[in-house]
Amino acid sequence: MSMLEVNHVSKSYGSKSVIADVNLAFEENKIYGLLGRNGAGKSTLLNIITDRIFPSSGEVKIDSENVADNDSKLGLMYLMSEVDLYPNGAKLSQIVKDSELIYGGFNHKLADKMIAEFKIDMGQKFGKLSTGYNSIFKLILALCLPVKFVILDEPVLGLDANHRELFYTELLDSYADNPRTFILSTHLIEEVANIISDVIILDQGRIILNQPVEDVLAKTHSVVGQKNEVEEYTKGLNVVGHDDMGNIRANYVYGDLDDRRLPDTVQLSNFDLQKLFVFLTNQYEGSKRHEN
Amino acid sequence: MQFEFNSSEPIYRQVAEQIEDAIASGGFEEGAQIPSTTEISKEFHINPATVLKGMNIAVSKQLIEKRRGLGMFVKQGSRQRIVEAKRDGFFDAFIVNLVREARNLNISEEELLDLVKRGYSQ
Amino acid sequence: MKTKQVIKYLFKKQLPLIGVVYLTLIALIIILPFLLSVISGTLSSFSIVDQLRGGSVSAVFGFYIFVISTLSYENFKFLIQNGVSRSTFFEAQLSVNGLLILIGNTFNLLYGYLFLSPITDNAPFNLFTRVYDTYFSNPFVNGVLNFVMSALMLVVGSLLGMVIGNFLTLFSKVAQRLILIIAPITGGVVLLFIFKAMIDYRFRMSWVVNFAKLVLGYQSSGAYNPFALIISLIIFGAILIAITRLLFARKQLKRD
Repeated sequence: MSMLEVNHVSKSYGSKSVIADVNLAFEENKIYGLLGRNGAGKSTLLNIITDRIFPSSGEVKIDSENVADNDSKLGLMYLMSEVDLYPNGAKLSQIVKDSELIYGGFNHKLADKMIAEFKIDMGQKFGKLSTGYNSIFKLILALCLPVKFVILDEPVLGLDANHRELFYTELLDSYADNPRTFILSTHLIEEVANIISDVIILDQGRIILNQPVEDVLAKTHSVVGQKNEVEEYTKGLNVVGHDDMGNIRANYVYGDLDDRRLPDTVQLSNFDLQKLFVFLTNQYEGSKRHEN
Repeated sequence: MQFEFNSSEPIYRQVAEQIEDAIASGGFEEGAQIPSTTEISKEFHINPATVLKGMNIAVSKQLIEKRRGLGMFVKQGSRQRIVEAKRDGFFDAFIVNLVREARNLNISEEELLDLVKRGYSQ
Repeated sequence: MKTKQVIKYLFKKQLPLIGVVYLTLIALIIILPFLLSVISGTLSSFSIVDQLRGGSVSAVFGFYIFVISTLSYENFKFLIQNGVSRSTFFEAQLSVNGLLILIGNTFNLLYGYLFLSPITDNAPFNLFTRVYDTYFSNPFVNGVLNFVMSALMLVVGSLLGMVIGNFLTLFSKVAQRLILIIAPITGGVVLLFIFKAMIDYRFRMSWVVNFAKLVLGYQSSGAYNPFALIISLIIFGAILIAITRLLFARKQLKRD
């Protein structure tokens, strides 16, 4: 078992806290969604995990061993990020060769398939790539290098709809072929909602949710009906958001419902991750308490 | 296979339902192989563990079975089992709502029965 | 440890630059003066030997190794993307610089002894041949000492480059530019002040002079003692290695 742990990691720049006491455990062969609005601290956290920047406090471990300045652990991760760390003047094929040399392996079969599917010219120079092809090239590296933790920060940046579809297909295909841990960091929740098995929501540097998607969805309840009846029914529950349409009200509850009787005129159903995310990260006034 | 997913019901349950519907409609014939977990996962961008969970529900309902090394196959008699299960649930799923709606519209029992007869005669 | 792979990567990347450097050197000390003399009509007094005598391959190679040593952030970015630790990068960079110095220094001395000396009547072509060459009478011993001393000077040059380059990467781009502008100016002002003090008040910094004499192995008559400089370079190099190591350990990705 390979387990990636983040223990009490905090990071501040001057007096500004960017990451505040984050604790996480990434288990083997799961697909995690790290969700957060822009500026929530996702990239900073991922940079700390891969030892690109130092935390102000706390540590990151793989199999109980600190990853800081540790080749054998750092070599188990690949972080594809928005920032470009490859030399602009290098040819794509050369970058592949150099990465293969250092990581000690590369899945050429999969790479060739992806190169053909995405129609990317490997003779180009890295600095000349469009945003979309820049992402595609880095995704190829992410899926083809022999790592146990594939960490993708905003993976579909600049990709058109067709290429996004293709990417998710390739991701799941490669996952089925060679199960390993994926961490997808994104603000495009709808696209990954069914792909991820566990969801982590980061808001203002804090983890506000960390659970299997299924458990989370089972706790979402939209309560729709006459305003007064809905308010009566949801009294005391963790209401995270609401919609009004005339006299009809929808209250969105996150958490378990107790045995209270549901009036015939009030309808109950679940709501989706995207909606929950918006409610939780907008700091809806109705609730400061989020169940974990 | 024509799967369509909505976002407010757990996906694994929808996977099970879609398999069930496909068998009921004859889309998956008895004894025939159905797409693998990976194929469904790739095609509809669903986590393979979720697909597997849906498949397992269908397995536990005796609708499909795993043949070692070959894949998932529709069990003999599964269509019949689905029809029976649906008949069992017919009252709760349709009649209760039908009667409630009829009452809201002031449709009497006799009028409703007439409408049902008209439906059958079409 | 991935030291071997990283050495291979860095070496492959930095070796071709040597070729560029020597080609530039030839262009600067032969082709450019030749063209100038053609243009100015003084071709008759143009002498390749004079040009070669004047140009120092050692200095140019020293400049090259200094410059590539300062450029470490580019490599850091690529290596941290590929999961290479800072200490491995440090060890690999030291090894690669050592290898390049070995190659460059060998070339420089072969060029000096086998090519330049014969055509310039044994004119000195580097520091050693200028002031240490007669300390021992055995030419072979002198050759070996010259090799060691030149290599050590290049090592110190390279380490200085690494210290400066890595020190600068601790700062943002804006701060780096400020430092690059402010540091030479303050340095210049301080030097001016010192010179002024020395002249105006007949201030004799005897300890500075004595220290320089000690480091260089100065002797009032005859050749200087080469071991003094060799030992000084080793001590200085060791201090610089320690500083470089500290600076490497503090490297991190910058927020741009």
